[in-house]
Amino acid sequence: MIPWALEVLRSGVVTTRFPHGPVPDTGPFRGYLKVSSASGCADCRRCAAACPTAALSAQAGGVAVDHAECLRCGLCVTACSNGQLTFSPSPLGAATSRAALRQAPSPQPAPGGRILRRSLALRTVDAGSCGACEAEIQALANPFYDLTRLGLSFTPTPKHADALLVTGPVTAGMADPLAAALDALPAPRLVIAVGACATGGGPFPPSAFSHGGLDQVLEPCVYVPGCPPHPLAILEGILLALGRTGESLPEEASG
Amino acid sequence: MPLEAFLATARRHLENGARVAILAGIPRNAVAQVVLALTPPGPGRPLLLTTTLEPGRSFPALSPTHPVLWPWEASLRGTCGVTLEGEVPGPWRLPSGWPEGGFAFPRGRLLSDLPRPPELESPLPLELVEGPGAFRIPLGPISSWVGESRFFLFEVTGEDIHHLGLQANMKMRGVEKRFENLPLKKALPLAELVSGTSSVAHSLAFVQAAEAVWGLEPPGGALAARVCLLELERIIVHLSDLGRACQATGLAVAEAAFRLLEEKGRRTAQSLTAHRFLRGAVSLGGIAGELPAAGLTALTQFLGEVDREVPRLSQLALSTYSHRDRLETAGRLTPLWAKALGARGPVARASDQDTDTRRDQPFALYGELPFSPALREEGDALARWRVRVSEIATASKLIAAAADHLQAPWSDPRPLADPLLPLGLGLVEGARGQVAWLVTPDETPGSLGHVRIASPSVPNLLAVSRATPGNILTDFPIIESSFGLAYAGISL
Repeated sequence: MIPWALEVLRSGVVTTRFPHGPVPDTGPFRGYLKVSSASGCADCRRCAAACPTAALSAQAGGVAVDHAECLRCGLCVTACSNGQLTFSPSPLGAATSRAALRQAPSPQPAPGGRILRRSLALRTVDAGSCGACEAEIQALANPFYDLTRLGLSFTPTPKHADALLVTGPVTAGMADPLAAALDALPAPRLVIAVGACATGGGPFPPSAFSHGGLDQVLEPCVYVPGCPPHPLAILEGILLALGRTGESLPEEASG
Repeated sequence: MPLEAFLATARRHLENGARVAILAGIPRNAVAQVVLALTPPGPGRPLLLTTTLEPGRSFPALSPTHPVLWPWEASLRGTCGVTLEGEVPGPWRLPSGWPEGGFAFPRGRLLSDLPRPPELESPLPLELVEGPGAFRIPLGPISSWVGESRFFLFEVTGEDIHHLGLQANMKMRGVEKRFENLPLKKALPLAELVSGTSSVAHSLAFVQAAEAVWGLEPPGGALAARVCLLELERIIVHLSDLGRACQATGLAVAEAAFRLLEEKGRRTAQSLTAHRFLRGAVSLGGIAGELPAAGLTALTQFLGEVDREVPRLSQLALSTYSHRDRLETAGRLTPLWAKALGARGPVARASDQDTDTRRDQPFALYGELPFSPALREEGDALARWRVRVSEIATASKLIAAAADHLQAPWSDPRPLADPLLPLGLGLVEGARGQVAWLVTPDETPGSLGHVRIASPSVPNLLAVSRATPGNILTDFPIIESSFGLAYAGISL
């Protein structure tokens, strides 16, 4: 066991201070889509035509972004005739309502105050994801993000969980298992939609195969947009659901 | 070709050891086209066989004699309405063309067993286990760790597993259906979502098939960049699987170390493409743009760390008795079964199957980058561990070699012309094995007709059902992690 003890010492402390410190700089990132100014829009509507998920809707004299639907693929940025669209480099952007994701991300009020205290057990339910959201949720347990330092942990059973993290558009085959998991969750409970498929259906609108988003079957208390969301955004979403953002909300979140 | 000739040719090649890339049905106006893509047992060009079936005509099933075809054959009825002649269990996955409305999900249907290859005599009972002391234990569909949904049914006496039933269609999103009549430009973000952790492999197989149809030729620099992206993805996926193996054996420090490296890989991906899963980099006719210099520096640094740390950590883990003992002989897939089920990627190579699309059907720049695939004979979790460690080292060398060829131009500048071919095949060796895409053009210029996708996790999941019996229940997390499946790509 001595080699493993040395291994721990070798790597040193790598864990981020977020949310007690600033958002760590992880390099260039395609965060949420920003529209520069309404006046600069050429009204060519090429962006809306290029969007694979109908996240952009052209209006008179401007364009509206539904961040819940956006895959951040950048097809609209390339299509825009005068460079009005850019990506924010911020990895954050969780929101407490679907409506809030139709505006530029901003500091969000906690949903219904602080109902759970510092220790929280999380259960994930994959309701038809591509697997990337699971990889990013799993990343929260790696030494960089280390969610246990915030009193958070994953639990194998919904009976021991306080919050559900749901990914995927809720496929027909996963609707019943999801309902069963939710039933097993003791109250008070939190449900968090993670990723574009869960927040707005994203690439999988309502069809014979899927419900097209978590809010088609139940009301989540927090939406974490992104395809997949950055682990920091998922962490932000969990803290937001807990009403613990007061201890964070760094300036970068509103930029 | 006529159906009889199609079947005779397919049988002849399969008996000579040809591997199946994909078998799929594509609706063409009133008739159904059945396409079979085979690759020779060693290096050589893929063979594309097609036949058309008039309405009402059924397809004589090949899977009773060639079970490797079974998962693809079982989906024929759903994708183009062709019924199968012969005793074929199924359906393994729900049909892509499931009618809109009136949708009924056939719940509770378990895959009881697939046809047994006639030359294989299994010492394990393939029938349901009955009698006192026999239990059935369901596992799923929600994964108990942070993982994708799937369903297993164990039939056990005490701890011993005698039979493993499986079902992986609850995640079906209707992916192939979404591509129908889609403009080519909008298809790429969707192709990256087929299996989210293999975004590069799937988008590359898609663009290669589309480039064959529309006659686009990506320049050499773009091909080199594609090698860099695909190999980086391979390193990240393998690191993630090694971390999961350590999680399964409870080796916490090693798990943390591998996950730390995986996170560094994701950040390297982010500095190269502004996306942690390398999305948006591959484009039709090349790559989306020059790889940034800062990203390439980060890549070199990351590869240096991987070259240094992975062999050391692996050696340390394998000299830890508690870890090595759990991997050794766990989930043994014999070479015969690996061949019979058409296992792909590291799973196949750990069971002595000398197959690697990068060497056998070179794509991108692989024709100019010689390497030899890592092979092991044991077929257990330890062999799969060793193959992955060895492939990480190879991937690092391939990136270094390909990086010398990075140069503009990055894309074929020609505008999209009329399609040259009615059908394109794209083959890519992803981290989990060969990814195959079939693409057909639509009558609308620049639009897709249909796509059909074969993910390596399909045959590899069948391999899990063969490798698990004979082990005990507590081995299963180790077995499942050692196969490294991505369930999203299984039921589309």
